[in-house]
Amino acid sequence: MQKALLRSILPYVVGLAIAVALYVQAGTIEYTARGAELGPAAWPRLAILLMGASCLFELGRRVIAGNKDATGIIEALDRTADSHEAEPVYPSLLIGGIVLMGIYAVLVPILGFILGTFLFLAAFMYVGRYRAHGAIWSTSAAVTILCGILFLRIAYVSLPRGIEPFDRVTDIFFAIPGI
Amino acid sequence: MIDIITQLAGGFVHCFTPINMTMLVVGIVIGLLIGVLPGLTLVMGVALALPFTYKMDVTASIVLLTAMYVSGTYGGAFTAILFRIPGEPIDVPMLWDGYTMGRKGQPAKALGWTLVAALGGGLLSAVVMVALTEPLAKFALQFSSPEYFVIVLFGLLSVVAIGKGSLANAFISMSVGILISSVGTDPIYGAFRFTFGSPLLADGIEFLVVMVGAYGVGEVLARLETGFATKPLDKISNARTELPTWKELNEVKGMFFRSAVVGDLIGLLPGAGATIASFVSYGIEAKFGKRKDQMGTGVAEGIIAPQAAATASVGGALVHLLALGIPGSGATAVILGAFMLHGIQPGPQVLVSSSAMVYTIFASLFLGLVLMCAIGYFAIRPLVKILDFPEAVVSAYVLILCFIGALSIRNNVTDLWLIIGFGVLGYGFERMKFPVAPLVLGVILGPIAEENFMNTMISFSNDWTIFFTRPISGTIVAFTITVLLLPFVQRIYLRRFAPAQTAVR
Repeated sequence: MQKALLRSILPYVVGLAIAVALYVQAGTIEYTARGAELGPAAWPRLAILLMGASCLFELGRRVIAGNKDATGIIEALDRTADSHEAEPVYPSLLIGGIVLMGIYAVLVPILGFILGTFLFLAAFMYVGRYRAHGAIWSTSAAVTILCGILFLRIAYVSLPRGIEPFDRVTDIFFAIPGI
Repeated sequence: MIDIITQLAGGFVHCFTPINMTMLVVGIVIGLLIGVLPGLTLVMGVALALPFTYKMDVTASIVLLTAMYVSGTYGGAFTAILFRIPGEPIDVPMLWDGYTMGRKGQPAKALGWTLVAALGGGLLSAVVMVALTEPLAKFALQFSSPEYFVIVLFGLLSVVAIGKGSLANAFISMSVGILISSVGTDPIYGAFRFTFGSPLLADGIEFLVVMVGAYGVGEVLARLETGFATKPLDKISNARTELPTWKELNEVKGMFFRSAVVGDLIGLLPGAGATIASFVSYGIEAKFGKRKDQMGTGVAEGIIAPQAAATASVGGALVHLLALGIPGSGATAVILGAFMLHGIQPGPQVLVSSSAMVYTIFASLFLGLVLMCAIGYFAIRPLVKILDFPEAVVSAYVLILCFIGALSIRNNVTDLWLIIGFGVLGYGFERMKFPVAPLVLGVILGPIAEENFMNTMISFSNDWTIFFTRPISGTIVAFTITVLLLPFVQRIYLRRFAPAQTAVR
């Protein structure tokens, strides 16, 4: 019980600490004051105070009233909310997905949009527990080509072309007749 | 009035241009598909489409997004009725009577009632939207910075008060959004705020990155954590729509009108979107309707009430977006974002400077509703067929669309990192029951609120009582306080309505 309470108040403790740190940081903003006018820190400080006060309130509520989530109007109106089945969760899939997105962000300037996207699509489907190999590779290729045509050729969006030797893939894509 | 009708006629003419018609049809089809797919939400879909409107004409962009918004309130009903899968929270009340009617062997009839309810509710709200927007905008021309500040505050706090999760969590979410929007160069002093020496942060954080990250990437991560566990489906080949007869329609005309009016009124309230409209309308019917004792047993009233109100709320929500520049929900916040991407600030001036555009948007809503129902009637099988697509495949495509959106903002990979970061933040918010809508609205409305707050403070020598003493701003402050009290009023409401809703489960 104590552990559950600590886990539930942790986000608010972190939020409060961030609010204090940002409030102090706002005091260091450099500017030339104009008479009695409010400075550039005034507005963010209002938001920080609101955030800090809300964190304090929720902390107090949870400590005094026990570890119980407050609900909003939508949950209150949805009388089936209690009967929703709890789905099993797989934290490893979540971590895998986040890591994969990070790898994409690192690799896309090197491999280029075409190659990077093709590999990301296939890898993400595997991470998402889809195992139809033929469908994975063929749809990844099809969607990559479609995105390339739409954004590189029609909309002229400037997407990364990659560095040597991977930029050759982008060149080959542009050289395909009809694309 | 004649002037409004003339301008609306001009709007219809503009609507029939190839680009606007294409965007209308594309928007409706995508909106219906988003409504059908349980992993994609209405707001997420509209946010995902936003980056693609960069190079489009502003009218075509808004026509596309509005069409997605309106048809998204209808598409989810298909899966709720046929498979007991609500595509959106809006469609949860559809499970109580729509699905039950389907189980009694009348799924086609249930789909027919849904179609008629969406069409009738939507058209009524479109008429109200056309009638109200211009007078409201003319009234808003009297506003100066104190009034604008309290109006923006009203919009922000309404979303905080009426929604998911605790009030404190919603306040925290909104504060984080406002703080994100304050990163960068301060507009009055030119001072750097929270940039931590980064030149990229000196330009500020684009609201698009926050919006697409929190809604798009965040929701995909939330679904990925569950292993994309979509249940296998059957009965798709039997899906069809059977329209109600005139006699049947005549029997429910009173409650039909009441539900549409309720939806429209709720849509007019910033913060209360289609979901609230759908639940409240069902609740009213379950409490006061002619067949209140049969609600939940598969009666037409239980389908008409939520669907007519949900679609009717769209017109109401667009009134304050266009007349005051205040988005009342996630979806209208994204539409406001599309306006701002094209350098247009919705509000009273937009009806003066760009009335042709506004009336084209109005006309597109009328046409969109009719087209939506036609597509929903004739193409229900292929639409529902999309559920055969594995969720892992659809989610991978969604992520790529998010990444393209990030890369196209400043052609900088840093935005890709930011979108991933805000995706993780959005996921974390959902997981810890912090609502995402106030965060996004804080990012979009934060700069507008700050500008008007600072202008007021400069003009009125830091006298903050000015917000209470000026007649219009004082009245809006009173409304704001009333809205903030709604969560407490909710308890009283539930004491009256809960037994009826519990009974129909």
